[in-house]
Amino acid sequence: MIDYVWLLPLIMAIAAAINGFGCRFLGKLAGYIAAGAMAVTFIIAAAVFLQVKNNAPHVGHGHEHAAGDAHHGGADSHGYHGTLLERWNAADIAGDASYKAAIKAEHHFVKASGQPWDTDFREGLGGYVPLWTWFEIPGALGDHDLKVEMAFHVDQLSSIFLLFISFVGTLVFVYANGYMKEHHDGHEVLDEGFARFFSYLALFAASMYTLILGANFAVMFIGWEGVGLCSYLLIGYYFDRRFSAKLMCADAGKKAFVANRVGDFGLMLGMFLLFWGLGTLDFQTIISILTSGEAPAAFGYSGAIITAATLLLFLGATGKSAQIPLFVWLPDAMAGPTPVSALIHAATMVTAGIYMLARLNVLYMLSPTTMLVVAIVGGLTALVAAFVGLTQRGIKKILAYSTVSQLGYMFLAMGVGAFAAGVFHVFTHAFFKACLFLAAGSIIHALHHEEDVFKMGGLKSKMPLTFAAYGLATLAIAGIFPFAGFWSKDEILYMTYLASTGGDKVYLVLYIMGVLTAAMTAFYMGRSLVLPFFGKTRMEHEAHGHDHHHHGHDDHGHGQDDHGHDDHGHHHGIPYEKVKESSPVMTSVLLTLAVASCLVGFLNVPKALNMGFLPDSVFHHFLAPVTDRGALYVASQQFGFAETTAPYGADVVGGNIVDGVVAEHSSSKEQLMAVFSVIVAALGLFLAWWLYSSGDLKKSENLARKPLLSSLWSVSWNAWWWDDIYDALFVRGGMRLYDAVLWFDKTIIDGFLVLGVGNLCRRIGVEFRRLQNGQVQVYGLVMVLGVCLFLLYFAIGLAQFLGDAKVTQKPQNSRRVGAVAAQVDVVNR
Amino acid sequence: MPLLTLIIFIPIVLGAIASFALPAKQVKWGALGIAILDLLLILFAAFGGGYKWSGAEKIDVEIFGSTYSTPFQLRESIAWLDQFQIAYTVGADNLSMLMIVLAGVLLIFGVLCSWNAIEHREKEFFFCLMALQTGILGTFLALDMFLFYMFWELMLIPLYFMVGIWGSKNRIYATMKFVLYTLVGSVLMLIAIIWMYYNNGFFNGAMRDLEIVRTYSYEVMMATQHQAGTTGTFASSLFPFLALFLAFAIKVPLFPLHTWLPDAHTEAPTAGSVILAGILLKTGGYGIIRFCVPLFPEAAVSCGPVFIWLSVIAIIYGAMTAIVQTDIKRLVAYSSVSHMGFVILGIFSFNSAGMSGAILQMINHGISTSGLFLAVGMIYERTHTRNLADFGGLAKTLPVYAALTMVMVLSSVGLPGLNGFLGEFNILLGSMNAHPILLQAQDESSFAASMGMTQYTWLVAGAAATGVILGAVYLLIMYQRTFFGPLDVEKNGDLKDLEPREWGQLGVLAAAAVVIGLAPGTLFNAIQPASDAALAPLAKPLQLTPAHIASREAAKAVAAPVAPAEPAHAEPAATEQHGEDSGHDHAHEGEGAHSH
Repeated sequence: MIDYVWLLPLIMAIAAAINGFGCRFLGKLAGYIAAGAMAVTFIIAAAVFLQVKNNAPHVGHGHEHAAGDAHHGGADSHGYHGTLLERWNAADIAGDASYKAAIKAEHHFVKASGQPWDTDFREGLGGYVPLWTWFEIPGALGDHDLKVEMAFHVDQLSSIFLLFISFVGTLVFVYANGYMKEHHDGHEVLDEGFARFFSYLALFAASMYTLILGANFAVMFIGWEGVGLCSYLLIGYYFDRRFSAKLMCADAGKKAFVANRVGDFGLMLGMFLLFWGLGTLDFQTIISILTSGEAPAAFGYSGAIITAATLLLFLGATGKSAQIPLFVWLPDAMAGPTPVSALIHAATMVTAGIYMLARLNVLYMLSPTTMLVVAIVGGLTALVAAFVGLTQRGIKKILAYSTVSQLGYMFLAMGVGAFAAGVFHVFTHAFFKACLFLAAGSIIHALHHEEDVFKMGGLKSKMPLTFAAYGLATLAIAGIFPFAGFWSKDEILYMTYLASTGGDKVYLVLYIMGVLTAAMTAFYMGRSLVLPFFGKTRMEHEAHGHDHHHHGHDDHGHGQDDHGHDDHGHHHGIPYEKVKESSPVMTSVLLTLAVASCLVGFLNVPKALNMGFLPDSVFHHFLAPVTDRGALYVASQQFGFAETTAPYGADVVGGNIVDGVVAEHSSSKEQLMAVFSVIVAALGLFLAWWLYSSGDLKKSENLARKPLLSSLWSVSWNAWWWDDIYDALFVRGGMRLYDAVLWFDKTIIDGFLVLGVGNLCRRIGVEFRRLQNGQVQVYGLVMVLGVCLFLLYFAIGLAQFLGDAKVTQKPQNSRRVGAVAAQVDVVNR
Repeated sequence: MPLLTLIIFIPIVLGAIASFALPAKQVKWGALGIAILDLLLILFAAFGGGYKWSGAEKIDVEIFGSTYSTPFQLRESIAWLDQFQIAYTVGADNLSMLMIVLAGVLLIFGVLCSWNAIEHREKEFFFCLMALQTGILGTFLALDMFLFYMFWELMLIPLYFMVGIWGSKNRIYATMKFVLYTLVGSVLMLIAIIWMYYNNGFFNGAMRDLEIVRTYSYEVMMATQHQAGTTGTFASSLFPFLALFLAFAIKVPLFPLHTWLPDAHTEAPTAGSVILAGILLKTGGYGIIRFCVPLFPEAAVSCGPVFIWLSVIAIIYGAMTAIVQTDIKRLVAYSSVSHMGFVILGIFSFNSAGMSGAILQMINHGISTSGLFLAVGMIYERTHTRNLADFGGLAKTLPVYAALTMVMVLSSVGLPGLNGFLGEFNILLGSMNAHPILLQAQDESSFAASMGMTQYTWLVAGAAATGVILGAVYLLIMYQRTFFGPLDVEKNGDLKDLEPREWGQLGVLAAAAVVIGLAPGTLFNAIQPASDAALAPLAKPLQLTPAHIASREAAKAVAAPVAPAEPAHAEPAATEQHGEDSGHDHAHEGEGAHSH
């Protein structure tokens, strides 16, 4: 199946094309086509995943590949101990090529296409699927040939991404079939751009698959920019509507695209730097060179170029994955229809940055500086965004900031070297965040595009299924045992704590920030659960009529959650009594995702916490050959660890080596910290319940008026004025600059220089024209003057001739004569 | 069969006949027929088997009594003004072949977009269009400097009338500016050509025992240059090089010589803009690649950094000015300044990536910018305005138009998967590694050094890459103001979507953008020999000295690894070894290139 992995983007691209070209007449069919195509890709992705899984060596504890069983436990015939990976590593360090060859032969490390891997198996298993040579420039930079293949690559990491993207994607596509139509008097009305919407959505999926599957930077970049484009189109889907007081939906789309482009700028330069030094854009080749010990010095551990390149690439990641300083686009991206938010801005696109870092973990591990930057940016983003989430009123806005915050966690994990833990949080987050967004969409749909949680309340009884889904997902994201988010988030926090045991206090600060974020997350998520669903409703009642219907909250000055899609024709909210649960298409999707949010966490239960019930860290063990490669390399090469404990990426965290034994065996500490996390989260949830459960907002409003709290409230409500600052600096400041440049162009270049020269010529012409005034006297005068000058010239010439006649003149050499003379000279010598 | 001659002169000759013979309303059919016939001939010349795209072998030809080897194919030479060593000689290599294919295709669009737009003096208009085409094709195919100059001037006259007669409001000002501006360059070029006539063999100050062959033949000049080697200083060739470069740079146009372009574009009829942006600007880039760089490699290298910086300024400056335009045509015109800046940047990076990227960028710009001008023309025909403020919400009324324009916009933005990306990608990649000799101005006497310029390639690539961000900004602003938002102007609600003639044009360009974007292999194979040929004469002046190799290695190893913990695994030694190795490689490479 791996050889046919190109079907994934192709099928979705075809679906996009059909919907795009047929948008006029497909009608309802468009949704079925897209969802059907997505379901097919899910099946393929599942098959691919299974194939990778069956091929992969189980490097974990006690789960050896069948062929490796002979070696399990105790020393094998060659005297190597431990797991497959450990033995490999030991052999590698000892330079025991024959043992490595034996392992390779034993485990059939072959590419899907049948050729054997030419590098060792730690790069992960799977297949390299070349399609065609995209472009090729021999001697592109003098000493490097540029050859870029249109090629896909499947390994553990990409197969996991494929799996959850296609799964969540399929559910979102199905849900969108229900969401993008309205019911009027019993018959359903499709949204105006129904087919166009599904065309974009399918194109997005195609791009996302390309991003994940690309075997080199250039192919990944197609997907990378492709998802950016699709998000631009999807955010601006309601292109004729207003998103907030300040922004059109199309503006939000543009903002997203440009912010992403800033990131892509970094990505491109980073990519060029790598090519400049290493002569290839292929991921595996780059990693092979870097771990071969033959890379130029600047590409070694702490090398200057590797640091620069990884920082530039990280800029790309901050753009796509909405981190400081480029996160500003994500909250506004909520202008798109809700399924879009769920798919793009929660489950898939925003995880691309994480994916890239995990993919390039060897590069990142080589630069402790970059790792520190990543960890700090991640931790800071998590905290900053969570703080904003505390006061927002638009339900999607809350979720958007929560996404930014959760992505921060993931980057924090990356930054401390826990790549697998980061990816695991991506994985769990995809389920519960998609569930949250879709449940929010269900509410918004039912309330006819009301997004303000202050105007909801009491929906629990009206929308029980949506409530159940939203509730479970909230518990998951808040980190309550035993829901998915608990496992993944706790792993990250624990890894961050481990990093601090190396002695660097920065990591301790980051850990505290992480815990604070967890508390805030629990609070604002609890708030977003309690406000709409519990207490007495703040919606209008049927009896009140629609007369004084409120719309927009301009009194808040910033109109942040003025999501009134004015032209939608539904700008009158519906009374509480008429609220209905969403259609089964939508609720079934919600419940599926909710169940997943409860369960997927069990896939990666660390040894310390599983009490022997579950196989430990399955997810991590599966990914380890890919995600722990950098840690292993740095640990062995830089710190001289001959035998590291394979499964933990945190072996080298923050540039410090953490004794693998500690990581493995400090169960009690890990258990204690897990309990602490849960308590913190529970407190957050409780606070939210205490403040909002009555349905009366007085309590919280009074609280927000307290002196210190009110200024904090203002910071949070205005999102640190981040947008306003960027607006002043880059948008208005930029415009002023561009205007100045235009002025310069018009006035100086064109006006002064170009027209100046032109006018000068005209001026001269005008002056000379004065002479041609038709007066005979003037002509006569000029003639006389001319004759005089002429005579003078001759007189001087004559005098010179007479004077010089005595001196013999040297003949004027022409160049050629001179050259020949010189040549003759040489010959004569 | 004198294929190339036919290709060149069919448009003007048949165009004249058609204008006389056909009634005014029917001339467009005649023009379309001629354009198609010409394109078929071009395609036959290019792909009919007579032309070898591999570009490897040279043939020996007799020029004015001596034998020279020439890389040009399909050569046709007729004695003309023997006493001045001027002959009518045309021939093609990959560079000119690519350009004339582009020109042939764009002419059809030029005719089609004028179908209903030209409502008076049709005969004259289509004749001008055809005469312009002859000038363009001749410029790309001429192998004699004098002939080249004639075709170069021939391009000017029809466009002068096209803008002046069929242009919009401010057309007289625009056309005068255009012609005067270009004439300044032409005069300089003429002087340079005459200088070259008198100084053949001494372009780069090579004082060798050479037969002076006074000639206007480009092939002879190249052969003599090759024989003479390029051991001299740049000073002797600086004047003719700069004079030629100036003429071409005005055409490109390179900052700060660009101000004629927005005016000319804005006022020109659609066909004028399409041909102007699509192909006429390329004659500038073509001239630099064909004449400036190979004939004066010493001067090109010493001036390189200056032009690199100018091109970087052009990229950013053009983009910034584009952002604040209110007239769509002006916006696209300024975007041309930005995009063509990439071409100059690629050329003067002096490596294969940059040069190939530059050639590809010329083709890509021909596709995407022509597409954008066609699109603007279509909406102008419907609304008679090009002001961004007069649009908005058109996506609703004109969905097909919106979709096709989107593809052109994205191609222009440089979205990977479409054509524009590949050009910019390779140019930026090339500029990041602009030839190491440019890392520092090579000696005190170099032009760049006298301008106080040294080359920081990182800075160049970084600065130029911001053009990629700004490009997204102005194009998306344009697209958004035109197509998104509510329908601001009532009467725009009644606009008719594209008819087949129109979406056919944009559709072909969009398809080309996708095909080149995804499978550019064949195109790159065609570009490679052209790029190699342009770079070959540079081997000598770019030869690396040990100092350069050292500086380059130093750049790669800026920071030595921090002292590793105890078991250092003998890594530093390995690295050193590697450094030495690559040093040898460089030196060797330089030698190799020289001996070619």
